[in-house]
Amino acid sequence: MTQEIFQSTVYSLKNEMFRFAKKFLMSADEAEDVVMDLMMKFWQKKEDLLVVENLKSFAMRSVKNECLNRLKHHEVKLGFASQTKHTSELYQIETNNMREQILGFISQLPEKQKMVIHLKDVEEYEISEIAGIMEMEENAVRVNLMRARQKVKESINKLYAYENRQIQGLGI
Amino acid sequence: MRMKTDKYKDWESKFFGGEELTPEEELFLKNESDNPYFSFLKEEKQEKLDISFEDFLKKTEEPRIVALPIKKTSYKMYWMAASLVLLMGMSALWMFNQPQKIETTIAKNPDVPKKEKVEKVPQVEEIIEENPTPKTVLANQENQKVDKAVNDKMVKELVQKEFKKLMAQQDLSTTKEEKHIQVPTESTSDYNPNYVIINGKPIYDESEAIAVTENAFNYFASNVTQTINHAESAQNQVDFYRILNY
Repeated sequence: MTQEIFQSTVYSLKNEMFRFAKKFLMSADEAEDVVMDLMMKFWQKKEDLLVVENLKSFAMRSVKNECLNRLKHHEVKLGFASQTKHTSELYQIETNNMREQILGFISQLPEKQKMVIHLKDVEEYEISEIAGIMEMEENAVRVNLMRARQKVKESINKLYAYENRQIQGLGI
Repeated sequence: MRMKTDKYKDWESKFFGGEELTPEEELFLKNESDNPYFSFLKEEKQEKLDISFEDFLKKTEEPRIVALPIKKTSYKMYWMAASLVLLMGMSALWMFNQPQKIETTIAKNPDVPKKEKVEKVPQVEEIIEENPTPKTVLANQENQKVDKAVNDKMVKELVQKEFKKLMAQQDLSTTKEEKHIQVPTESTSDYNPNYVIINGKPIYDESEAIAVTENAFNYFASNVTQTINHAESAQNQVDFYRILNY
């Protein structure tokens, strides 16, 4: 595998891998470390990658496994706890940043639902690909996706209703 | 326009219901829907990792320094090793200083003559018991399993030595003599250095005194052998009955 082929087939996945890792680790620095470590490993074994059928799925599955390994680490756990606290605080202080609000809703989802909704809606993967990455049945992916989207929608509706009540209370 | 809005709403409800839309429908929702979730999805996809491929290649050429986890010193292992050494030391000490070992060696020595009815000569035994050096010499000799001739020779030498020592002591003090040799009360005043009294019997000849002492030693050795034989036979009987019961 030449440098050019590696760049076009493997290194081009770095942004997707980064976003996916960030969903797991809740830290951009940790996510960057994970992606760079994996890219190094892929580079060292670039000849072996030639036999992999779906590189995209393989790379994302590697991210998932690496992130789960890191989550076992105590410091990452602490970071995750502080991030969760941070997002809940964000919700409490009623920031007007809708993106942060929706990120908070997604981060409160169960792990599988969080990953499925990210891979489907953000990365636009097919159900079959998500099933391969997450090592789940396709039907299970669909169910998780449906539940995740419904929860996000309900949370957005609740937020709208809350803001409307606030506006009405102010008499605007 | 109205129909178009209804179609968006229908697609949106399908989308949040978990149904799969066509790529065109999804693209349309992401671009046209006023739901903040779709604008969030667009923004989310803009997030990128800003490391160029050239920088990555430079990193691959750098030697990687992998920090190995620091192993904690296990004091448990040290304690275990120290305990083991201590235990082995104590066992070795106990094995080499076993008092029964000397008696067993004497009993099993085939060179020691068997039962001989000899008069008890407690006085001579007492003398030898009080003097630890000859006893140690005897024990060591028997441990090394020397020949009977050598044993006899050594015993004779020992007895001669003790005899001479005794004679010298008799010259010095009569009170000390009373402790070692049983002498009639009337004879303490009439001390005669030409003989020794063993069991109330005066012996004038030195060789005879040595013979009597040697007999006493042999008698002692045969008693020890007999006792150990009895003990062994008793143990054998116990084992025999245990096997029978089993």
